[in-house]
Amino acid sequence: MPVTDQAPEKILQATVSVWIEQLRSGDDHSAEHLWQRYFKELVRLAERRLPLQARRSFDQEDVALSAFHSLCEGVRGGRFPELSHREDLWSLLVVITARKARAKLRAETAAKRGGSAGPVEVELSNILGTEPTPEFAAELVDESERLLALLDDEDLRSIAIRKLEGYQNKEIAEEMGCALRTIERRLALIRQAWSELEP
Amino acid sequence: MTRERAQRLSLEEERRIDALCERFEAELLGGGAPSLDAYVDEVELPLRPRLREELEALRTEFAVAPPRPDLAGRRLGGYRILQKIGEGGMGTVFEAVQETTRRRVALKVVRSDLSSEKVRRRFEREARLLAHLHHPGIAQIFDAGVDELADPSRPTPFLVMELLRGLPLIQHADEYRLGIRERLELLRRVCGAVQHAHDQGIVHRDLKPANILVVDGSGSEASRTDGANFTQGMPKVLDFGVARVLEREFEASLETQTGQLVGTMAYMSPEQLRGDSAQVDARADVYALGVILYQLLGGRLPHDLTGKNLPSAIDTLRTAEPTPLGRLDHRLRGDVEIIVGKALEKRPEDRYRSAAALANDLQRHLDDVPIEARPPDTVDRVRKFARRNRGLFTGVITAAAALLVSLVVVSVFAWQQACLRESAELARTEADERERVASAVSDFLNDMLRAGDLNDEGVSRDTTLYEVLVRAAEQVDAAFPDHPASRAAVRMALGSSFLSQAEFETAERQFRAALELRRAHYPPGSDEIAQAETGLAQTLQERGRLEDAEPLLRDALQIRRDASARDAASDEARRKATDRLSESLGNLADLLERRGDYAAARQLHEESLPLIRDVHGTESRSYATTLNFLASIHEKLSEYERAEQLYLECLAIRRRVLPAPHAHLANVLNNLGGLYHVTSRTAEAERLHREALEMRLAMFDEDHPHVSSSRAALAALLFRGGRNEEALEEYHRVLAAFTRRLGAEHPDTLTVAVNAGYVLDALGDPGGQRDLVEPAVERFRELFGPDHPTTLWAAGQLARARRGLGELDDAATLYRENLRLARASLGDHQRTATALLDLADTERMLGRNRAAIDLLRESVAMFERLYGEAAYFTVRARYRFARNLFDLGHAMEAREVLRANAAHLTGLGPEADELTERTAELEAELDRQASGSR
Repeated sequence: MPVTDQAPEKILQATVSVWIEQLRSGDDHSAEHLWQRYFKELVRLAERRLPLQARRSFDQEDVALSAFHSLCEGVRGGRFPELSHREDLWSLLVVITARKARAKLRAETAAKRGGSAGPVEVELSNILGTEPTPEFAAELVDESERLLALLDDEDLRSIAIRKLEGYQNKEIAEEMGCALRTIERRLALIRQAWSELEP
Repeated sequence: MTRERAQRLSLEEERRIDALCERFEAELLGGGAPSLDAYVDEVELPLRPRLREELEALRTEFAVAPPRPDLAGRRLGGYRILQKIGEGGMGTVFEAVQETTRRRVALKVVRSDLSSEKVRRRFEREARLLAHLHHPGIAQIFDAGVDELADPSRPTPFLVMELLRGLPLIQHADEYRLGIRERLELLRRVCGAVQHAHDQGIVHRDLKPANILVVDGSGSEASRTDGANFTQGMPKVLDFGVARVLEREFEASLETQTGQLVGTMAYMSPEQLRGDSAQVDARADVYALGVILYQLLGGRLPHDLTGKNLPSAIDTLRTAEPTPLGRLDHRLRGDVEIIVGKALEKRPEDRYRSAAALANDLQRHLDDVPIEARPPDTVDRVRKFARRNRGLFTGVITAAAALLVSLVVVSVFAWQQACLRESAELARTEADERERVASAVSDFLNDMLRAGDLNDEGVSRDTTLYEVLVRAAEQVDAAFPDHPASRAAVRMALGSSFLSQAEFETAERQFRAALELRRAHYPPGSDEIAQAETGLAQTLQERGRLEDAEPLLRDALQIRRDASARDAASDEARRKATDRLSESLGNLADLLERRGDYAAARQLHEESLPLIRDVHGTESRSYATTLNFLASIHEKLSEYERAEQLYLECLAIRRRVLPAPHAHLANVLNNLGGLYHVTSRTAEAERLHREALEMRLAMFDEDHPHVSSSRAALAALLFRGGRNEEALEEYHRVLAAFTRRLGAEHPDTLTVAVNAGYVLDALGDPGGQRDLVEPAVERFRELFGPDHPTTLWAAGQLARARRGLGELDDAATLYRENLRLARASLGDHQRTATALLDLADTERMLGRNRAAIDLLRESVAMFERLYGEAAYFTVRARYRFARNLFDLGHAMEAREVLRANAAHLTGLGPEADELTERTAELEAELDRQASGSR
């Protein structure tokens, strides 16, 4: 699409590349800038898609979708993901979605050339450097739905949702009435589940 | 990455470790000191370091900074909370231990506002009563209390119950693959438990599979005392009476998220759904048992609510008959189907009279003894059919018709009494009395009979009602030959009824007769005359005869201005006078708005708003109505933000004060939807329009103008989404309905014709478009005048059709005239901006390029002023500007305009797809030209 390739503002674009530089040198502050800029836009795009799909219904299957709604709610409420933790679930979700999209693209190209598509490595900083597109937002909605459904344990799923909503581990521990260590352990479990079960 | 993963444990192994940690933590939470080694020994060697690391970390955390959960580990009453075991609609359930006895219990922390001492005492008293309920099939409630240690301002109420380990009913039956007989037996036992509570006067009100836990039969003392030899375990009903303790009824839960409701709503009896708590008794639980049995046997709920919104879901539950069970599974034909059918009857009196009676029939079936319920016979079927087809509230209508007759008799009687009095003084008193009665008659009849409009229950148009009205209309004169005042009162009531049923011709006749009678028999300046004038004017207005309606409304307004300027005899009288004045202001404003005199209309509404606020407050129907009117005027003046704000305020008030479905609620949904459509928020628009349409279909027949107007709005959205064939079909349905009900020359019919013309244009049929639009333009000119925005709009469409037919000069003349009128009467306005675009295109086709470019530039600027930089209309105008610039050889300028557009184009969503495509084409052309010239 020719239109989406155009940068809206040159000044912003320049700032973004500075942030990316800082991110590579381990500056978490810049990661937050980048993330917020990217993320606000992403949620805006994703929500545009949602009303059509998530028409209010009594279907139990809609739970996952409404989960995504509540994630967006969290972001609107000013609770942004903790980027001091590089292992944040949102980052993972975005990376998985991007990796999947690129794998598909590579598989198509490879099929045309008759070869096979190698492993796809996607860096978060690279994703954050681009503009989120409506297509990507839609895929992210699907992916979040799929990945949440993948967690067959209710506790794990509520931890994941709370985390995606931007709550701190400590807050989740308090809410669930368990040790902080337990939340950390289960978040690791969720990350492992998402990374491993990813097709 | 692969190396790293090799050192890690597998997901399965991590899960096992997690489960052990959870147990370990539970022990720590319970105050125990579990042995670390014992836990570590439970896993094989490779997992041990990892498990030990976790357990040590947990132990350290508990020693250094024990988790400070909001409840776990805390003491409530004499209980210490161990861990959370579940979350339900009414609260969170924890496993807890009673400190004195060490007994493990389930402790439910209830979400409830107990800040008032009265409510709090009630909670404790009711909960303690529940503790007297003992039955092996009911989860025992031991205790209840209110804790305020944590936060004295927010006391925490809790219930202490028997701790049960088991699966919810349906899950249990599926897990153990129970057969039909075993499932019936299971439910029979649930019935026994429910009956026991009913015997104590306690109704559950929230029975559902999730509230019935089946505990393992082997270890349970209860299952042995029940003498069961089934392996399926013992069902235990949870939360008995809790709904009552918390005073949580359906209405309260409506406030919560719609999604949450489904779990509860599907099991609610029709009387509960009506919010009729006086009618809710043990038979509501029988209904819920029927639903549970249906689901247990048929594998699905009796009513499919998938994808339904709230009003239509409630409607389905209240009116639709479920698919007979035997059709889902032929083994369920006969007895079982009849038993379930009887439990699911809509009317409580048709159901089993008790849970015991249901249990009894289940037992009879299990014992192969004939059951007591009989299959529905022909009479039942006819009755059900009639009920379904005449709506639920036929009773109300019949009652209203009976009242019409009896009240008229009362008023005639009062009149005769008055005539017999000799004393003038007495006659006056009697006359006042008569007037009081007569106006009570018409007020009451208005309220009862304006079905579909004022009736809060959402009564539908009903042939029976219609027939009653027609018969009454025929008999009025014969019934009261000597009593013109009563005759007029009845005519007024009939006129209102016909008007609300959109039977305008008949309504007009009734109002005219009433007005004539009242002018002859009441002194000038009486409000009775103003009322008749208003009724007639509204009818004329509905028939599109604004010029005839206006003098009537002005006269009525004058009568009421005079009346409210006079000293009122009492506060009540002053209130009434103010009320009437604001009503008249609103009526005239409505008419002026329809005529396009928005400024005058706004002024009248603004005059009446404070009057209404003083008399009724802001949380009232009339205040909401004025907001709605005012919003629509702001919308027409292109003041969209203010309009949205007012609509939203109106919607919020109406959602609070009106029961759904309601005509007024549907109306504001429709209006706000229209505003969102205009301002490019199409998804929101579609959602609102669909909600309005469903609400209207639940109240009116297919031909009703309100249904049509919802359809028309949807058609416009479909058209905008490029679904032309569907849109055209929808428009044709609306046109046919409007023509039948409103007449071919009604402004609404004409508007729809012009809208349908757009679709024909898109489908490449300018001839068809012209045939539809031309008569509309002529009629609009007569009705509204040539410079009315609606006339301008229709004329623009006619010009377009002519252009499509190749009649370019005619088209240009029409467009030029349109633009001139629009500039003069509207200034900056969507219609003016559109007229600029239209004329520009035509000028280009005629080869007048420079003029075209100037017009386009002006239109882009106007769209920016009206809607902002990023709106769809603005973006579209900019694209057209760019396209023309390019076509006329101004490539550089075209590229600049496109660049300004690019950022906004991406933000518009799917509706801009075509625009995006065309932009891409244009860019490609620009690129080709650039490389070609290099």
